[in-house]
Amino acid sequence: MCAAREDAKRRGSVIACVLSSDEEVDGLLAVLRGAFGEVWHSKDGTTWFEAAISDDSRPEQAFDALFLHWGDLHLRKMAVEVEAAAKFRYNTVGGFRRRNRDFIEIYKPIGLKVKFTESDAREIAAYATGVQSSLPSCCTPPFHDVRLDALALLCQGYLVAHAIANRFDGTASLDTGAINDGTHADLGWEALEQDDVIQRLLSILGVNTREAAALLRERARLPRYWEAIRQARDPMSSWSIKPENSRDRERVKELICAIGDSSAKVTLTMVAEAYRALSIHLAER
Amino acid sequence: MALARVLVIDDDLGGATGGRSRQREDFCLATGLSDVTGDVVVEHIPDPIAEAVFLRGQRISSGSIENDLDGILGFLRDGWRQAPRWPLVLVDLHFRTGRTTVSGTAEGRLEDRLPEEYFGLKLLERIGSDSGLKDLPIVVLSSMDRNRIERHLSDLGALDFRDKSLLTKESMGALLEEHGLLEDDVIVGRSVAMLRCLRSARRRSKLGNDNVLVLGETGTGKELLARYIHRTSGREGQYVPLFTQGVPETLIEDRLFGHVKGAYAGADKSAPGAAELAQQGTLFIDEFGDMPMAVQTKLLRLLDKNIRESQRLGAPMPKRLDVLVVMATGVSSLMTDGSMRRDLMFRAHLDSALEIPPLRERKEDIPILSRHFLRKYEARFNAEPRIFTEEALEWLCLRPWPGNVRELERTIEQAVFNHRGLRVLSVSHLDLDAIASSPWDSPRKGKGAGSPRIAAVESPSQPGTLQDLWEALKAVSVSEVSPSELTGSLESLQERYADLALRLFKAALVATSRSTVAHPEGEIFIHPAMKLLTGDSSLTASKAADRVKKMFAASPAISAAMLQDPALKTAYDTALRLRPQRSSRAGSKGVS
Amino acid sequence: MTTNWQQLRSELNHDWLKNVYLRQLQAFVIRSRSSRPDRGRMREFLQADFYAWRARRPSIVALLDDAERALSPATLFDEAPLSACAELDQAWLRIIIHELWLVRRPVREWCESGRRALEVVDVRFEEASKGIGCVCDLDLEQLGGRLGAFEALSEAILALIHRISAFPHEIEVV
Repeated sequence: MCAAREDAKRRGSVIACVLSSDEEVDGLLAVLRGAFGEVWHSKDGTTWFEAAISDDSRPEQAFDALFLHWGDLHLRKMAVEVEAAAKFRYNTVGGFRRRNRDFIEIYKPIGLKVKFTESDAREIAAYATGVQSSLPSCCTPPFHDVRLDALALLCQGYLVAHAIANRFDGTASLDTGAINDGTHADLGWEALEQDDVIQRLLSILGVNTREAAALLRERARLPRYWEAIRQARDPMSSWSIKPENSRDRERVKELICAIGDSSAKVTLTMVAEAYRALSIHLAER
Repeated sequence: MALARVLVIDDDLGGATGGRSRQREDFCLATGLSDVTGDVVVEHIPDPIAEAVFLRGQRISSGSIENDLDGILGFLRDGWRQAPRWPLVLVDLHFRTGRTTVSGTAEGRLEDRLPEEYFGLKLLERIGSDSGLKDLPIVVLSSMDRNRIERHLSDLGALDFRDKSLLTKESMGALLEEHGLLEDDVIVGRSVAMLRCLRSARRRSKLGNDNVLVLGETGTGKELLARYIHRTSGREGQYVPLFTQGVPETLIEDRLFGHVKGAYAGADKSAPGAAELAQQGTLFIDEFGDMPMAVQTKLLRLLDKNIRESQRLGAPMPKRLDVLVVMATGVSSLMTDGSMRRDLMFRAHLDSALEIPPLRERKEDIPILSRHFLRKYEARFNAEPRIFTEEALEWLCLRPWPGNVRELERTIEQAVFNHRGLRVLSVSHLDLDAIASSPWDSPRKGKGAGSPRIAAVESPSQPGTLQDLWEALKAVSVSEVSPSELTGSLESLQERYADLALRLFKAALVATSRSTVAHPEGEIFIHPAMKLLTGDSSLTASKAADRVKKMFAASPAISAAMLQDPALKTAYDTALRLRPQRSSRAGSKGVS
Repeated sequence: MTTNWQQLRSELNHDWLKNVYLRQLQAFVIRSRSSRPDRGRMREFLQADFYAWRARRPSIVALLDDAERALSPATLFDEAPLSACAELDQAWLRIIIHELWLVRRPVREWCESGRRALEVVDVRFEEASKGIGCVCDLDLEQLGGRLGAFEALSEAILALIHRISAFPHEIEVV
């Protein structure tokens, strides 16, 4: 990085630049200002304005993060030539069909509707300056959204832990009340009715069958059971909003909110309904 | 005919090490392709179905292999800009990149295998957005799982997908037949428009015995296309054409369906009609829209695929047939003068018609067509082999050719016939200023130039006068004309007469036109013009219209050209309006 | 996401079995039937290419043996975010998740089916390799009588390719 970049670092500024002729860029600039020390914008790659000030000066330093509006064909080549620690591309509808060697994709729409949040911008700033090593969550492609996969698997575990324990102590079984037939089938519950599987499962816990089953259920009810989801930022970001899926999204969002809010109770019904919605969404992916 | 030459873009098949590519050898052997790339020693392929050029589509530098999108596009454009073009381009999906291995291939990167990163899809996307590569026929050839990229394929304009590892000689042949822009020996042409037409025709010919509708302006070769459809259909029976223009209504039905003995006076024995003769073959009906309404009704049963019946005149019962029916008509004939039954139009599959492009939409074919006709008539008239001057070819290409290929053919024929001894044809020999610029040509030069010949006259300085006609008649002594000289001369003679008659008619139109507020330049009236020409003051308007129609029907080629003249066009349209029934449209008699 | 197993499957099944070995077999049969057979190329195939099956076989066996583990959604606990789960929870969750998956997907059947197809290839391979004899002077007439064995081997390879292709391309969570 050049000397000017070092100066900027010493000033404590993390610097972003945006290459976009899109009229709706102000929303993005405003968001970035909340996370970056300096934000520069150019519509043509020649004249730059610092986002807070109208200034014709051209920044000479390299940037920490570059944001390119992908719809601006004439700026792509320029963007490849600009020096930046991390380069991102975005569009107004969110998502790209395939990856690009020179840019990291932002999978949230940035246009009239800016789904890109200050939290995303902070994450990108952290990534660009090496503070965060994993890809920012807004850059996780929809077709490989491990966050929703993880949520689905934890839901499976939660439901089964309850089903096993309920089977032993005679409380409401998995089949009645809370769970519908579809979820039951989706889950593959038949496997858990095989004694050797249950035995193998319970032997890991090293206690007798009834107690082991109850312990499983207890562990699934602990707040830290869901820690993986709590740590995954904005796991719903890849799930595009459509009228036909709004109810399913709500179910899953409800669970995620309950997970995030440790005072709220995560219930069996909530998990079952969220799992049902998730399994439909993931199967269509 | 030379073999078609396809292009295969594939990193494995396109590469070669030490002058050899074993993968390519095996592929060519299995698919019947003869490798003409020129970068390797090739194995003999017995009875190849096509030639193939293999392109790796990658560049190698500093020990690394990367995909070369721009290089591929440049190569594609070179083979697409002008004929002969790539009849088919086969594109692989997965291209390995990265460090070069010992064997000369790329090590491969993880993302190369991701469907969303397939280089083949990126290439398709770029091709689709390049206007210079419009219509490039592309088939994806890959052993990757089709399901993973299915939705991308249709978005990106690929014609088809084939599993590379399962492709055989037979399936490659079928692929070429179905998707290739293949040239033909008989229907000459290399333009994309014409090749697309041929491809559509081949596809239609394979659809069992679905009716085929061929649309095209006069002189475009509708009948030739019908024969092509029959040829590529693989049907065992004969090709039977039926031309109905100028045939009395009662005879049309007989010709189409046949009759039994005694069906009518003079029917001494039974005879099959064209429909029965075409059993297991192809029946071609020209200008079917002009068929009398009564015949159209009976034609319906033949056209209905579920019925396909033909009943001879006088027969008690119909007969079921297995016939491929090809119908032809001019595009303008579909415009409604009410003469075509709606259900006939429906059964004729107007939604799925094959349209032959007019010559003006395939101008790049004019030179090749001209040379083809040159060879044809040199052989027929035993004339000297010759070439066109550059200017002559340019003139040929610039003409609008309202009479299409037929008009071009007649022009070349006339030029060869008139100048049998010449070895170079220039603009003046083509008489491009007028259609058949003179009804009577001057005695030909070259061999036996002194002996009189029908239509073997030079263009006079005042073409198309009565005096010229008279002089030419006097010059011909029938007893001195040999049979071979008479051969094929009647049509030429008729054309010259038609030309003269129409010119005189135009003169009469101008002479009898009246300037009005609506038509300050002079309004055209056929009735007074025809009265003037015939000298018959009692001539009615409808009779005048009949005469006009008859004049235009005398020679399709001449009429088609004459209709470019606004006054004559107006006169002809007026005649049709006055006498719509039993119309004999210009340019339709005997034209496919 | 493309795991190592997927990459190995692609290299073995797509790159080698489909694009190289099967093609070589088919080309050998065509050359043998030709009126002008290229003996040099036929010799090349019989001396080296044909026997590549023996060298590659262990990799295919390993691929089938590892399929259940590699494709299991339980592997998602190896990376973020599920790697953040407590170790004890991971232990019982992995089992549950894996068993549920086995109910939903007949993976063990697929593996068995793949192994059976592999055995058929082995048998056909041995049949085809019998009587190749001395490759130096190819007795085409004798070889012509054995072409059926090579064709049968091609069909067996194709069946194996289909079996391996049937495995999912991604880890399926639901």
